[in-house]
Amino acid sequence: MKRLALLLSAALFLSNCKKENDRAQWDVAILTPIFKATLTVGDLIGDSLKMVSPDGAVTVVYDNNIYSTPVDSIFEIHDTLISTVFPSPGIISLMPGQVFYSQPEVMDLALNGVELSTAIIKSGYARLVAKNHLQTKVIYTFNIPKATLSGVPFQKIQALDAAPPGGFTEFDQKFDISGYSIDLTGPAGTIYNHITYTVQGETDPTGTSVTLAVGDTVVDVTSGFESLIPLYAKGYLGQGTVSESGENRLGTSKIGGGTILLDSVSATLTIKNSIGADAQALLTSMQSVNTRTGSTVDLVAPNLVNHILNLNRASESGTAPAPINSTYYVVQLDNTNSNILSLVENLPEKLTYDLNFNLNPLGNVSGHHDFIYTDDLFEANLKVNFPLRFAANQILFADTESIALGTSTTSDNVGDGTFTIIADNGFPFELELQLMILNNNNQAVDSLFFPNTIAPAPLNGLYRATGKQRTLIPIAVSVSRKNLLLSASRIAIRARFSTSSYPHILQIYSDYELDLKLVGDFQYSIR
Amino acid sequence: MRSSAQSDLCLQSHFLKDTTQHVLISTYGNYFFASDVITNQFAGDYYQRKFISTDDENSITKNLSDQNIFGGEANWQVALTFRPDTSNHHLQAYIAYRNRGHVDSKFSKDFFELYFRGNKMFGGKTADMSDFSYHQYSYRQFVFGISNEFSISNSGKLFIGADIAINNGISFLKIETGGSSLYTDPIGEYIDADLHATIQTDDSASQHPSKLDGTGYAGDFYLEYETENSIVAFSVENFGSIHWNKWSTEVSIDSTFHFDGIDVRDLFDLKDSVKINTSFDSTFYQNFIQNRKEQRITTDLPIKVSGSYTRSFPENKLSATLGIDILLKTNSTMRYIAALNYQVNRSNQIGLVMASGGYTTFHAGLSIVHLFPWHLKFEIGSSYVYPMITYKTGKSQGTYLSLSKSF
Repeated sequence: MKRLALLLSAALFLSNCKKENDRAQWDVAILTPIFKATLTVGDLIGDSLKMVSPDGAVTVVYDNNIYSTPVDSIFEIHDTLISTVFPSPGIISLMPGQVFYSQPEVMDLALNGVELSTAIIKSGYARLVAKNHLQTKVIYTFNIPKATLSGVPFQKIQALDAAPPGGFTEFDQKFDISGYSIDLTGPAGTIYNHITYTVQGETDPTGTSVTLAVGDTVVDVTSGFESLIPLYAKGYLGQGTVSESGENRLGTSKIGGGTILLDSVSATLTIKNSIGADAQALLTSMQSVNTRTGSTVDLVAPNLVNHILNLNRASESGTAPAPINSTYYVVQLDNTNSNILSLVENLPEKLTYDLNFNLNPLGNVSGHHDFIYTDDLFEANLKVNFPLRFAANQILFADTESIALGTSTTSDNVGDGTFTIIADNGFPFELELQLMILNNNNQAVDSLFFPNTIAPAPLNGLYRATGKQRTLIPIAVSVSRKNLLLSASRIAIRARFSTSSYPHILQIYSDYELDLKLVGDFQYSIR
Repeated sequence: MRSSAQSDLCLQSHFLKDTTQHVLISTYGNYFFASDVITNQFAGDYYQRKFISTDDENSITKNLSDQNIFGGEANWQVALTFRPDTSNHHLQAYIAYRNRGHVDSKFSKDFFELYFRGNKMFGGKTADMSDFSYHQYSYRQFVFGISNEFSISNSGKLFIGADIAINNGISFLKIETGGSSLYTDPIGEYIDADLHATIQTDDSASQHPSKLDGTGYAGDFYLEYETENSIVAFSVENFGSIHWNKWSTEVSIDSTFHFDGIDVRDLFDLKDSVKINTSFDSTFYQNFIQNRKEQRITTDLPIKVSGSYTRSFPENKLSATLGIDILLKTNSTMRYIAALNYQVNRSNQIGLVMASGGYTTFHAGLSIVHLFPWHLKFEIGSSYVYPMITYKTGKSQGTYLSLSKSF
């Protein structure tokens, strides 16, 4: 009887003692969509560049400011400080409230051929450094009588404590004069480029008398202006020349190769003059540069390149600051008057140009009434417009990206499986996709997506895509491959496309889409 | 008077019938698991947190019907029965502390397959997850009861007892679905789900100052009519409920959704780096778990109703019992019981029990009672010896153990 009881007990409890894991584990087979995305025409060229006609035909409009004149190319105001130190010529007694220093200063801005009568300061400082060697409190007053803000002249008053025996007290401050309007015509209004100001020193009216010996320092002041940038200036702007050799990147650096044939291209170059002075612009060259192929195409356009463009002066709409009435010079380029088509078919990464502006070619014809708003000088804008009608052969988009998929418990549980890309292609392109996993030396260690060709949408007799063509691209992902992907720091993405019926030129319509979906068919360990 | 653990076929009397004794101290513990489809091996592997193989799953799949059930309990208690009135030996009082755990579920064939094998096998098909239920309760009871013996005739005695238990809820989880299904596209291009479910659970953070997640009351009622050679018994046990506190959570899912992948709008916006940190958990949570609220929740406890007739044969050494029982408020069915008890000698008694129903199919077991000196009584038994011997195919298991001493 006892033995039976023991056996029974043992049998009952035997299976309930040992627990191998935190919870039971098993594998399940998962079949699920994971990601989906839709590639539209707007994704290809950017919605802001897309123009759609009523029949859905897409036109690309590339509108970009390719040049703006930097403010310091017309003139630049350098920092200027003036120091004044007066020793006592004899035994002097200074009474309380006595003005012991009052020195008008007329500072020349030295603008080299530019003669300004008025300036409104965008940003900058008046600086005063004063050292008090007197053993009484003193008061310094910094006046710029011809600098006003809302009609009130600039004035700053600063007191310095009495100097200790044998020493001095010091004051050093920069006063923000942003927004001040400054008359630069000097005390009598007959000169240009000059700021007039006064620094005055006075002993404290409530203090005591001090007596100075010979050689004792009475005045020790440094004053001037720093970091002055005008918002607006008026006068004669001189006959300066602005030369600019620049480049404008087009954001096509991910195109790795291939050939494209466009139907037509038109372009508009607009030069805007917002300076109140006549000017001449001269574009000496413009090039389409494709560094991947080493191909450079010079723009040939007789009405633009090496052709002097006379730019009329802008006008003011009222008392400054006020909106400017800019002037514009517009040059139209198309297949008939230029080689702009070749320029675009070169698939340039960048446009380079050499551009010169000559100011006041006829001299001071305005009688010192030129003006300038430094935020708005010369600008050149290029607007390229072409119907998205093209034939493409093996156009390659290539990019290398950092990747941070990371690891997680969820991904740890994923076992062997097949991930399938379902592509429903509504574009008349054949598209080859490849994703390469790179090691730390940027060497490909694995390649996903094989076979990797997404079939193009079928075309009707008018070469318009009708419906979508489905392609399934299975990707076997073993656990080791998964770990490789999860640990990768960089991936290389390659997408190569060719239009159907190349070199027949196809119109791209706004309703074309490529639907991509990633479906997972994999083992998942429940743990 | 004592409560046998629910669904265990402990056929001993609920009452202290030895009038020479005044006090009975007893401890009792049991567990059982039973199902109409889940085998002991599968349940054992799951409970022991082992890896469940495809073979294990196949052993269940072949027996699955449209709806399947399983249930289980683990309980223990200590109790004191005494005669409060020394002048009245018919009156008994009862005090006990019980710790009870109960789990109970009903699930469809497709639910099992989906849970343990995944949705791939349902490619192009709809998995029916309707009428799923899962109830799990863990609670304590402080029990106070009284009973009395009435002499009906020279040979007939009627024992009537009742007690009331103060319930202290520890935890619960209750999941129930209405019509629910999941359709998987043949190549996995999309998944359509139609989910209607309610999930209720206790305040896992124990925010109540008393740390009590729930309180309530339950009652037991016992009746036995005993003659010289027969006993008719009827009992209703654990009739009551637990009111879980206001921090209990109810999540209602009443949603039809079409999932065809997480939309990655910026796939073609290749910036300086590619970072994929979408949380699937949060995605699903945000989409489907929107109606979550904290509130008081009341759950009914499993009620055991049982009745039996026992006939003793000459010299009262052999007795036979026929009975039925059922656990109300659960997914179990009526169980039919037949038992034999044989008094081997003054100290030993063995029993054989056979039953069919409840959560499982036919099961049979043994019990042994041994009386040590000084009224120390040891009892061990199992209603599921037969399915436990056939461990791989058997679908129920359990045992009970009791130790008592009377004075």
